[in-house]
Amino acid sequence: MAHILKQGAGALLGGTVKRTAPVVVLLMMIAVVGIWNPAFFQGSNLITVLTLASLLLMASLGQTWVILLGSIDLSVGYMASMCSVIFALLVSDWGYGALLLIVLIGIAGGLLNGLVYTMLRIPSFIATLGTGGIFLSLAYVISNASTVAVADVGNPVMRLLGREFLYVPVSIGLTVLLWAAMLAYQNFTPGGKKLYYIGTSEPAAWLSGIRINRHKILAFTVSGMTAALTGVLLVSTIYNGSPNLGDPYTLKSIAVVVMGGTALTGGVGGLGRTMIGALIMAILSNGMNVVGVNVYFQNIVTGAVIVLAAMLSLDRSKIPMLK
Amino acid sequence: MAHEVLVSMRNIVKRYPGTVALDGANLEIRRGEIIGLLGENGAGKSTMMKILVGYETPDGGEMLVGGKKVQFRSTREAMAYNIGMVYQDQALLPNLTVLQNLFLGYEHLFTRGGFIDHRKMKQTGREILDMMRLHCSLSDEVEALPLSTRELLEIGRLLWLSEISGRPPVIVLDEPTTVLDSNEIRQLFDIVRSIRDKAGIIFISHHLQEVLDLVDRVVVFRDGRDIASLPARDLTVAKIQEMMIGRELNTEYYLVDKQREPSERVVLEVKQLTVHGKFQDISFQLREGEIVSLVGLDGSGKEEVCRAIFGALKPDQGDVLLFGKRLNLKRPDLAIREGIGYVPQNRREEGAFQHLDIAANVTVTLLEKLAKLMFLPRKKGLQLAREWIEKLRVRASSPHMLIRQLSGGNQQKVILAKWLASDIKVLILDHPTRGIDVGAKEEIYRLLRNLADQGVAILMMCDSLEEDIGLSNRLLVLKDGRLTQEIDSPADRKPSVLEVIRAL
Amino acid sequence: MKTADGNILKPKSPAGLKQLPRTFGPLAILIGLVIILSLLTPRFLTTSNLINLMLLFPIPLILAIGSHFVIQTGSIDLSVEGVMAVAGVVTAMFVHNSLTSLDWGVGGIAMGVLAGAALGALNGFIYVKGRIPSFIVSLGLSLACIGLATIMYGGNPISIYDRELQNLIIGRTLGVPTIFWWGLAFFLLMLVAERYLPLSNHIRAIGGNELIARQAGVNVNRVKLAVFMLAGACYGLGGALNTVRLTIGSSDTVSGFLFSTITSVVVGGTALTGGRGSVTGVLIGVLIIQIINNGMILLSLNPYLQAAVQGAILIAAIAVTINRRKAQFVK
Repeated sequence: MAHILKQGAGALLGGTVKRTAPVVVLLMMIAVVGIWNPAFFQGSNLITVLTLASLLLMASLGQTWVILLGSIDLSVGYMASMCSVIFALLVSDWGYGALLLIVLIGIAGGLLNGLVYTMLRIPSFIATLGTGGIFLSLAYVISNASTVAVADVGNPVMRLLGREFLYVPVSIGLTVLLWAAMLAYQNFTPGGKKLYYIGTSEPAAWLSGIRINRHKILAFTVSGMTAALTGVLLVSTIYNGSPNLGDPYTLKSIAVVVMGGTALTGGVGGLGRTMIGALIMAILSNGMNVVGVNVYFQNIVTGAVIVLAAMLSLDRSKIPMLK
Repeated sequence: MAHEVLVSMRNIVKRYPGTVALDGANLEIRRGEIIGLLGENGAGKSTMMKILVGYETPDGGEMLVGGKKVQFRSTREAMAYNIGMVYQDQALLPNLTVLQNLFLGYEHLFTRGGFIDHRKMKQTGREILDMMRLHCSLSDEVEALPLSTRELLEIGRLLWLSEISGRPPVIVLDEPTTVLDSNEIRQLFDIVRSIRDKAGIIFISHHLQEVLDLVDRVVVFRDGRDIASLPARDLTVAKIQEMMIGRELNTEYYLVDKQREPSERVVLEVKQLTVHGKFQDISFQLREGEIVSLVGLDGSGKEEVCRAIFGALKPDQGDVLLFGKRLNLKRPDLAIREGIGYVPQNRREEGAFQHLDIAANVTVTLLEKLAKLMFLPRKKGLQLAREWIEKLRVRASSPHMLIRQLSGGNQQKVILAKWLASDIKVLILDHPTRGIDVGAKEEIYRLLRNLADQGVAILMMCDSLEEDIGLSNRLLVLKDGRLTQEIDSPADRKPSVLEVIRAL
Repeated sequence: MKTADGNILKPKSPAGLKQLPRTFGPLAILIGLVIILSLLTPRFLTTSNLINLMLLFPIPLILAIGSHFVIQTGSIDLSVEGVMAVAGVVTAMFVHNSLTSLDWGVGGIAMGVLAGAALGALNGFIYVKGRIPSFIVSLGLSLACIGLATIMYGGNPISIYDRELQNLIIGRTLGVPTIFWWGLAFFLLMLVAERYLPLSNHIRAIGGNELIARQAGVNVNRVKLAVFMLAGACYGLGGALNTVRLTIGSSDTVSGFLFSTITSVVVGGTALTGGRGSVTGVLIGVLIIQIINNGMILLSLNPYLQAAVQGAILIAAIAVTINRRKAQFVK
């Protein structure tokens, strides 16, 4: 046991085991929850689960690439909060313009993260902590520290987000589409492959001619954008935005990515895994609700799960000096 | 005058993947005697010392300290027996003061009720400084001190530690004079001589004359064994050099018959390249089909020159021209684009993507070329990998194998495949056969000969002078960062290792 | 002479000059800040404002010093808020309050400190034995703790009735808030520890180069565990005092402390890479941040911008002081 802890199960577990473990966990969870309370399988509940999953997925899309590179984005939640506020404020009057603005804000924020990280050489967790503080502040200032309700709930954008296409809510479809596009980039383009090279070994990547900074900035920019869109999705579910609405999503996005099997050390995993992780988290959350577990206890579970999953996926041979 | 035996190392064997570093080596260290340990790079002397001080564990043989058998699993255990090696920064922390460094880990000897008695500590500290004739202050941050001072501080700490344990120390000084000027060298020797009676001292240096000046006995290592142990007064520098080398060059092994004369066309021209603190004013040319070796001792700057040409180390001055066109040396990808490849020394961390498969490692520089309209399906990479696995006879069952599962030699072949698959004009290799077994080495030599035949210009540095001489058309000698000599190494008239060693 | 990896080191120029900004920078900034603020608003240097500052800075100081030692070893501890929350609730439950029937007075604060120390020990244990990067462990722990704290008071914030205890903090002794004396005493204690305990040398050594420290005989794992426990105890103390001061036991009272703590430590000269900094520097860093916050309020700037300002300062402080050589490949 100590041996496993020492090496990091990530190094010892065979590739196949690591690849399939999350799926197995997912299936087991569905089984357990389903047996405990068959109400889980009801159509309305399933939609709830999938909506939750797509929310988690959206927040984790960019984070996946960031972690794949071996860094971390701690500003996701704050960006989501800030954008929930801005979107709720503007959507009634600006319609699709508000959506566009959110995307731009997300890109700008992510770009800031990427630049601070690459140009100023500040460790990503501090850089994003710092910028996260800026987003947090802006969220409070813009909303005047209060909840912002969407003025005109019937406006076209809100209706679009709430509509269903073949029983699937548009918000879910949007997320899955984005996920698919990013997945295609990740698995089938040179740029996507370079994420893995950088995450595996930055020195080797640099000596192989990969322009590391470029890809890091891209990953953080995308992370900012998906975090921003998470804010939009949040508003679409409860029709208002607030300055701390998205805060929990920082840790949730990390949990999703890590639970799906993407290693914190980088170079292993990807968006396919994140999809599984999102489903696991959603079912866990929904399952706990259905079973009647205290909401705050869920936090403890999430915290413990993050640490556990991190421990199992970490490949210790990649970290000579643990900090 | 030599007294009792402090440490006795017998029949030490140490193997690394692909090589045998020590093959039954012996060493006896006595109190009151200064031993000069000599040998070429790779002869085994560094490994022997690493085992002595607990940095490595031997695979065979035994070590006795004070007559008792010991096996050190860490340098801490060796320190408990007062055996230590003095590296420049190995035992000192730059962010701590002199005082803090001297007594790190031993503060409890100066505490009263858990609190440090600074007066007592400073007093002892000053004694050590006096003994080592140092003028620095106890509150200086080590970071700000010159390297010579740090060296003496480390020796001082070792001596103090031995004093409090009452056991005579064994001190290994590894190339201590490299950073000292002549005055400081004289001072160091004085101090070493003054403590000679109390300790057993091993002195490693490539400045052979210095060694003869200081030591009582010379031990020469070659091919993983101690081959001679003679009193210093009986020796001259020339005699030592002869002992260090030994055999004739194996021309068959290095495929010397396949060595071809390079064409007249200049591929790479290096002009007055300078990186402050590493090398200065380096100028030379590489021709089509030519293999050129950079030779020089540690610290000569040859590794840095290669990195600078590749764009991995930004030069302060100078230019590199490829077919007459000036290169931008800011980043490796710029050099790669022009057709320069680089095989780094550190295979594990810089050469290969250990956790990715062969296909990924082979295609890393070719991604854009293989992709069509931004899209790059997996099978193209796999196909390419299969081709090269076959061509280079890489012992791997499939391109899906992770590169870390391959042996050193096969890993290197995959790394080479990456460059061979691109259209390179120049290949730079930093110690390409390090840690590779004999069979794989031969295959790599063949590869390099083929490359040269195709007109690629090769610049490299090898693990042994033999390899450098055997493989190359020409040797460039670097000394202290400057290009001092050019030695021709034509197929019909190869220089002897002795000849080259004398030039270093 | 060679280093362990075979590199020959050439003599460097004395680094003394480079150290100047690190040692005197924070102090200069502090002085400059005081001058600028007193010029910008007459309300800064008034007695009441200064008394207010004295009331406000001890708790951040305690938190920052706890973090400082962890950061000095080269690790990081992001669990400040979580531990504070739990400790605060624990304290609330042990003093005269609305939830339980206990009335331990100062003993309640001690319980809070113990709770913090226990959590810190857990943090350190998982980090050292599980060998998981400290920022993940402490982050996860923080989340779990906030949840734990909320469960403990069941969603209804605990009200504290012990006015005597509260007075022990915000009441006056010799004309200044009592908590100022507590803070001063704590600071002096840490100063003595820094100077006279071998542990402090070991902490610096580990931050400088863990490998060398280990070879010199420092018990790295034990030291790391110790600093995390100490940090936890500090956060516990801070959380306990915070709770008593506000007379509310709840997890809502801790937001914002993580930012200001880390920023204070970094601004005070403690490098994130470890091995540098001092307790005095931390004091200066805390004063700088608290004065900036104070100034922002006096100048009628939106108080919610505090987090943004701190975030920007954090980034700037690190960008300016980062050791570029050590940071070749930054994660």
